[in-house]
Amino acid sequence: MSKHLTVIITTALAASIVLISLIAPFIAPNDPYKTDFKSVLAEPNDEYPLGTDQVGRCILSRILYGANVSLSITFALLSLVFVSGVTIGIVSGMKGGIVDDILMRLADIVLAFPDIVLVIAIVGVMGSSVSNMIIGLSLVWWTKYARLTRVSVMKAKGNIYVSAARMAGASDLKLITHYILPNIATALIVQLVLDISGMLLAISSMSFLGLGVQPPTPEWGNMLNEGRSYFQTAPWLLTYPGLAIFITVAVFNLLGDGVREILSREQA
Amino acid sequence: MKYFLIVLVIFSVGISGCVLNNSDSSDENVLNMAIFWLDNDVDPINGWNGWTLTRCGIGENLVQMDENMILRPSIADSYEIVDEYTTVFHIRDGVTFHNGNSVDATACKASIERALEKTDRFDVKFPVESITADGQNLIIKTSEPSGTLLNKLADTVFIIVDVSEADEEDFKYKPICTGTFKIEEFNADKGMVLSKHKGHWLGNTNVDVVNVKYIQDASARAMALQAKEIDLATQLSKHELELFEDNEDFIVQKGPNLRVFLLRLNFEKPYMKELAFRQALSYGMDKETYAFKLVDGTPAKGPINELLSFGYKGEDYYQYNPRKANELLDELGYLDTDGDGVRECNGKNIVLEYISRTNHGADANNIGIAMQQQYKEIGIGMKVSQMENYADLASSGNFDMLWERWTPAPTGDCQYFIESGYITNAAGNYGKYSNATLDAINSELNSTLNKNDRDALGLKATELVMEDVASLFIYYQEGNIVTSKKVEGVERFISEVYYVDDRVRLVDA
Repeated sequence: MSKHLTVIITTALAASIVLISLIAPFIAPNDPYKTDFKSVLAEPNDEYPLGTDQVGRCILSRILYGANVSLSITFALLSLVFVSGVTIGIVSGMKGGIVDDILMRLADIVLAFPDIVLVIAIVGVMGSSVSNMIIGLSLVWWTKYARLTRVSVMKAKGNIYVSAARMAGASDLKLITHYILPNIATALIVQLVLDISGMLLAISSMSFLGLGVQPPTPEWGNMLNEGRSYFQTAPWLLTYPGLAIFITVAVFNLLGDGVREILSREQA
Repeated sequence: MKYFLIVLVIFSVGISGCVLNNSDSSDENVLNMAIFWLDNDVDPINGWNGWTLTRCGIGENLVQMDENMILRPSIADSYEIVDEYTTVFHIRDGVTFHNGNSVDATACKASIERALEKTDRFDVKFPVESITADGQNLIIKTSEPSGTLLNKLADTVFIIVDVSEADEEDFKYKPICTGTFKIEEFNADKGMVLSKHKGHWLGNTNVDVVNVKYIQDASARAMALQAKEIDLATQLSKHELELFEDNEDFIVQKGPNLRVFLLRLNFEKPYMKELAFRQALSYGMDKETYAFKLVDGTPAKGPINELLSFGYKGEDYYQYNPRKANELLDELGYLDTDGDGVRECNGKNIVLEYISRTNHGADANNIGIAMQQQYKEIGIGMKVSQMENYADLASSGNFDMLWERWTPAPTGDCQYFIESGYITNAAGNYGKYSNATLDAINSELNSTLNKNDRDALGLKATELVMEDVASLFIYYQEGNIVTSKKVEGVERFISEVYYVDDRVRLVDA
């Protein structure tokens, strides 16, 4: 029961973070791009609740808009790698043989490199921009879902109900959509929820390194990077974006853990 | 477990104590300093690499600029300008190279000839008729009148080195010079270790070893100072300087220096060819605010600041006036026809590429962000990027505005900045600026000897590039040098070519 409560609370928190990111333009106290030269590096005050940055922009407004940017990229990317990874995994698992070999060796090659290093290399070659970061991250992250799906599909394929359905004349597509996917969905969804925080961190890291979201677009990672050299004299430049990342990552991590626990208990 | 942790802590404290004691127990006086720039090698004939040698007290010239930009003898103890072609230097007795070889006119001749032959810096070359060495007398004759011979010889390219060792493999990392310190170790990523040149002709310093640490990031330099890892650092940023100004453990020296920060414009872009467009760019940016609020500097009028005799002292051209900028752009016919807030030129949105290099630091980027915001008001888009491969980009011409920092007159003469940055096809003229009048002034300077006449020409050139908006001149830097209380004898040179020399001393060390 208490597990359910945790999940309900974290779901509520996660939902409120998403909601805040969606209504950011309406609740932000200032224009996140507007430079106010009279208040450069101002401490938190009435006009700027979390202070201003090195060119006099409102930190709170930038964090709120940044939530929108960070989360939309995270969800877009996750949907992309989820769909492509699962598709590749299903093809690999169902077809087997040479197709499976080729796809899985490809995944092995990608997995041989530390993921963020590979993304840095890809973006470094292609030039830093949001679209290139998305390409880089999806080229690396699909393998996770492909492998998980492949193993699950192979396991499910051996079940009697699949053989029965096949003998009853079900097509491959019907087998997948009606018999296999519903049975392996739990594991995939748990993985998806668990990956939200990881993906958010990866995107922020890339932007911190200057390879992702480009200034002046507010993003938590690039806010940290811009504030880096002021941490002794104006610590609020780092504290608040840092806290935003910390809270969001923690909430989505807890949510992932909770979902996993509940779903695995239900399955057992 | 708890006891294990305690033991571990004691053990590690013990180890770190040993390490600290090791460095303290030696009798040598060690100065730790930071530099913010280090090239792949320090052979003075390569580009501006020799600046590291002068900054760290390693290399010396025949004559040098002192902290107030006054020419003073160094390896030469006197010189005489015989006529407009001939200058005679007397080489100081008792000067020795780091390897112990003595320095005479023949050695100086060889060093200067090597520099003239091999340097890639065309702006410092001079036409030689003959260089004659006679004992301690060095006679340099030029084939054309050369009014700036002394200034050129004060450039780091002409640091006197022992040419007899120049073919050695590691000469470019450990050039044999004559300065107070000699290089023991060189690492292009980390810095250098120097030792005292015991045979130096002055021999005043009590510093035995200098650890020169290469720290690019200004905030990292500030932290190293706070942690007492270094005793001397330069060019801290405005907000970091505040950490040291009221601190009795440190001495802060600051004031205007020669350096100017500017945005080079790319004249290959169709809109940049229009004077009115460039004027609008100048009217559209509030450099006064940038200089005072974002960086600690003075708004720049032209390339040369008023510290120098040929600096422009009048009213600035095209000062911040967005209304005027909009009028000019409207007149040019660059209108925003699709209503997206950005004006168009030949049907395409005008979005300027603003490029700075990573080690230009946060200030370069912040001014870009500020300009981006202000240019919105005049309907000009801007993309601000900071990158590592700036040099490739500069030469490829793939930019609209290129952030540059210049010391426009490191040797106190006006021709350098014109010749190396603005005349047609100059090496540093990445924006392909071309102006026949300026080229003519430069040729005239070649044959003008009198200092006042040269200054007048320099001023004329300055006004010309300002009026023509050859670049957007943003601000003059406020130079600073922070030393810990245990270091004495460090002067702030307005040229920034020198940091420490024979006067540096460690007190109660």
